[in-house]
Amino acid sequence: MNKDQEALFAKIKEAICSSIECSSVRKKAIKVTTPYLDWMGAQVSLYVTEEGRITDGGQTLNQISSLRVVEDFEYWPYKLDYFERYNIQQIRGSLDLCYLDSPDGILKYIQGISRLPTFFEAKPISAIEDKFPQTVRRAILDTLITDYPERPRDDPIGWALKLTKPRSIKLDGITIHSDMSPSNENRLIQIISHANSSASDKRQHVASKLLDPLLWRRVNPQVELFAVVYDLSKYPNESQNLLEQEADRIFEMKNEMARLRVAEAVAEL
Amino acid sequence: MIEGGPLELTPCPYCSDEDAVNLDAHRVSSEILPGHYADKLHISGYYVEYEGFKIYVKPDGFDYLLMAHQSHSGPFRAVDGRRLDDHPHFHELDFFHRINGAPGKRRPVPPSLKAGMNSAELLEAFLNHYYFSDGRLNAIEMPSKKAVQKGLEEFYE
Repeated sequence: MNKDQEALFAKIKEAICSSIECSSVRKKAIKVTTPYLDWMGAQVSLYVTEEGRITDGGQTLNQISSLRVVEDFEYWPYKLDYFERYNIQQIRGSLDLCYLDSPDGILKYIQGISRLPTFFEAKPISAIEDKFPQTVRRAILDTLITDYPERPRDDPIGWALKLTKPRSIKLDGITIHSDMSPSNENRLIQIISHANSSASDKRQHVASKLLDPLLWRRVNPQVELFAVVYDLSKYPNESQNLLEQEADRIFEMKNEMARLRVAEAVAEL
Repeated sequence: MIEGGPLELTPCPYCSDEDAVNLDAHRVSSEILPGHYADKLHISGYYVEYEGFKIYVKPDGFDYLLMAHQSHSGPFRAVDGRRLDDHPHFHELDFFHRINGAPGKRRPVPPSLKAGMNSAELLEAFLNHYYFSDGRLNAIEMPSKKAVQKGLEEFYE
């Protein structure tokens, strides 16, 4: 190293070291702000809790959730390798530092949490769409993870995601769709939306939702149809009668306990 | 204009804090920004356990243009010259006052931002201040509180 290189190296080192800041934040934690920028151009921050835990405060997984890529993250084949490589452990909703054995481990952790959301393509809501099916899936996912007593100890989030994702069943020449994937493979969950559409659209939507179970029942009489609707009275009488006749159970999400009942219907055999 | 219908705050799937909410990303169309920003702009929001709710607007593949923070760690100077401590504020890039070629930062604190405001009030103030419209007729509401069953903490350990 010549003198010029040495002087420049010293400047770079000083610039990096002098840019780290520390401040007090909520819950008696401290915030450490690094000079590096994350995927959105904001300074990377981490938190040291009162108990001495180094954590991201839940921001990384909440960003992933708000970008609507939770499923992509949960099924990401590199997830465990990435956590291992970047010294990260997931504690509930936070990504915490795993080992504090060496300075290298802290730097890996900082790089790991700041880069993670860039591996998933954001899915912003982009057009006027009926959000009821998405709202129901999120509510049931949330109920399965937090309130359902029989949830597994090991990876409850992955388990809940599997149950709430849509399912396709291939029959001879046709494909049957279910809006969720209940444990009971003979059960179809159909989410009835279009509550704000015209009466004719509602009729058409309800009829289309009942077609798949009717077709499936031709080859499998054991098929159960569970319908999830916000408020049945908002649909034309003809559609209400059709649903009551064909569905084995109807859950109205306007009722407080409906979330738990649907979660049971999805999780139980 | 915000696409995809009115914005709604949703409970964080992983957090137990009562005021922990996220805002699902929505595409935003803009007639003011040049196409390479406007064609792929989105608004989103997330919760941080130690700092509260944050909102940002950014184009895909580039840095944020606007942010809103429920809190600030340490004192800061607002655009109007006031020196504030841990106060809700907006954060915007200042293309007219560049530092070494890069846009500077401004922290506007309009009267609609009040200490102790919740996430819904912060989002409402942000949309109004920057003239974002999502077709909403009613005020933004906090999501209903989750009833978390107690005594099951060991399942998460």
